[in-house]
Order: sequence, then structure tokens, then C-alpha cells
Amino acid sequence: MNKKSQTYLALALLTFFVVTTIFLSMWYAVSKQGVHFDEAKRAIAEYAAKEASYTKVQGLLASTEKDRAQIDSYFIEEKNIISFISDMEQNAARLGVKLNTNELASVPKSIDTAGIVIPAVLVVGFDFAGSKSAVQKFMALLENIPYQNTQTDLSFSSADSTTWKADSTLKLTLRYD
Amino acid sequence: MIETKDVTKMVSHIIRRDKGIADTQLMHPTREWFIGLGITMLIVLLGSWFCWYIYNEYSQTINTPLTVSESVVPYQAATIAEAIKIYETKQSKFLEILGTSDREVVPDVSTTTEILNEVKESVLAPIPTVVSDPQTEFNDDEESESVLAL
Repeated sequence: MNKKSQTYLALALLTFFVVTTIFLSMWYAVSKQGVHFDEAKRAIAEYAAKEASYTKVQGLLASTEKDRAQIDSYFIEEKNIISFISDMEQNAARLGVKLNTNELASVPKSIDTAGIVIPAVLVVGFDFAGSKSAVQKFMALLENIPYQNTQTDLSFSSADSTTWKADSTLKLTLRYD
Repeated sequence: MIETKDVTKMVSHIIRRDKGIADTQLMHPTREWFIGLGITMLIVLLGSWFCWYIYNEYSQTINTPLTVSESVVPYQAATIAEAIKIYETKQSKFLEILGTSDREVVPDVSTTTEILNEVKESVLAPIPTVVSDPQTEFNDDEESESVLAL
């Protein structure tokens, strides 16, 4: 191998290595860009999904506003307790029943072992007396109070030939936000 | 002393010298050129294939939609509607109970309006003066009923 051939060989090898290096570096750059592209695409997809969810929730909030307000109205608020008892006393008077509130307690909100929120409850005890039909009417009234409640106790007895007495305990679920 | 081994060595050296330089050690420009050309073609082909492969892969990636799990807000419309219905029924019953107690037997009243002519002062008759207090009459039955009511 003469000197000229050696020079050509060296140039060829140099060119080969330079081209290979460029090729590998471009391959690396393309792969890196590909990873960035995947990340960007995923981010765009996630953003689009979030946007769609937001739009859906917004639409849901707008379409269910009336229903939610109505459902809200079926839960008594803590600030309305006194007016509720006052209303019940007025209703009792309208039905011809003498009403006495014998229990009023508030059980605060708690979280059970499963992590479920148990809302605050207002315990109200009433005893009332009047004619049999009036007492029955008032009992029906208590059963149909348009608030989320549980009637935990109810007893009904005759005091004398004309007067009947009844006791009832209600557990009203307090509204919480 | 020359051994067989040395003789064999000498013979092989002579034979090799006669053959000259091995063909593999000699330079063949045409052959080397074609080998170089072949290697270059191989590299070009492999590179082309790789470029096509990457292009195809990313084309498919672009066209394939990503399935991102969308968080769905649970809204139990049927349960809400049912709850509203239950409470509406309760509310109407509640109002009905209160409404029945308010209902009083009121007789139908028919009213008529008469347009009276203007009456002059001179036409008015004099009001008679009371001469004596009228006798008060007591009914025994009514009295006994009012006492019972008390």
C-alpha cells in the first residue's frame, strides 16, 4: 500500500466515522424529540379531557341548579332551628294541639371508620296533647315534615276520655356544605 | 546437526517464496472499490430503512388518538328525581294537613250593590227619642247552654 492509498484510506475512514457520528447524533436527537412529542401529546390529551370534564360539570351545574336548590331546601339549617320549632308550635295551635318541646340537642358532624361523613343531626323531642283526631293529625304532620328526618320515637296514649297524649322524637339532618 | 524439522521448514520457505505474496495481501483497486461501494450501499439502505421506520412509527403515533381517562362526575339523576318526588309528596301532604284544619264552613254570601239617590237633609225624618228602657227578656235554655260552654 503506497502513501497515496494510505491517505485515501485514512480520509475514507475519517469520513465514515464523521458520517456515523452525525447519523448517531441525529438518531439520538430524533428519539429525544419523539419522547418530547409523546409527552406533549399526552399533556394535550389530558388538558383536552380536563376541559371536556370542566365543560360537562359546568353544564351539569347549570342544568341541575333548580333540583339542587330544591334538594337543599329539604335540609334544615342550624340557623333555622328556632323558627322551625316556632313554626311547629304555630302548626300545633292551628291543629288544636298543645305542644311542648321536651328535647333539643345537636349532634355534630362526624366521620366513621370507613371515612364516610355522617352529617350533623338535630334531635327534637315533642310531647303534645289534644283531642284524638287533633293528635292524630299532628302525628301525621310530624311524619310529613318536608325536611330530611328520622322519627326515632313515637308513643300515643289516652290521658282521659277526651284528651290524648303523644310523644315523638325527630332526628333532623342538618344541611352542610 | 540438521533434523527433519529444519528440512521441512526450509522446503516450505522455498515453496512459499515461489508463490510470491499471497493474493489477499495484494491490492485490487476494482475489488476494493466494489467492496467499498457495497458497504456504502448497505449503510445507505439500512439508514433509509431506519428513516422510513421512524417516519412510519411517528406517523402512526400522530394518527392514533390517546386514550386519556376522563374523570366523570357522578350525578345520580334518577335518585335525585326520586328524592324530589318523595319530598314533594311529603310537602303536599304536610300542607294538606295544615290546610284541612284551616277549612271553615263559610256560607255562600251573595252581595248586591244598590245605587242610592242622594238624599236631601230636609227629607230626613226626625229620630224618635227613647222614652223608657225596653224590658230585657231572659231565656232559661240559652243561659244554661252558655254556662255549660264555659
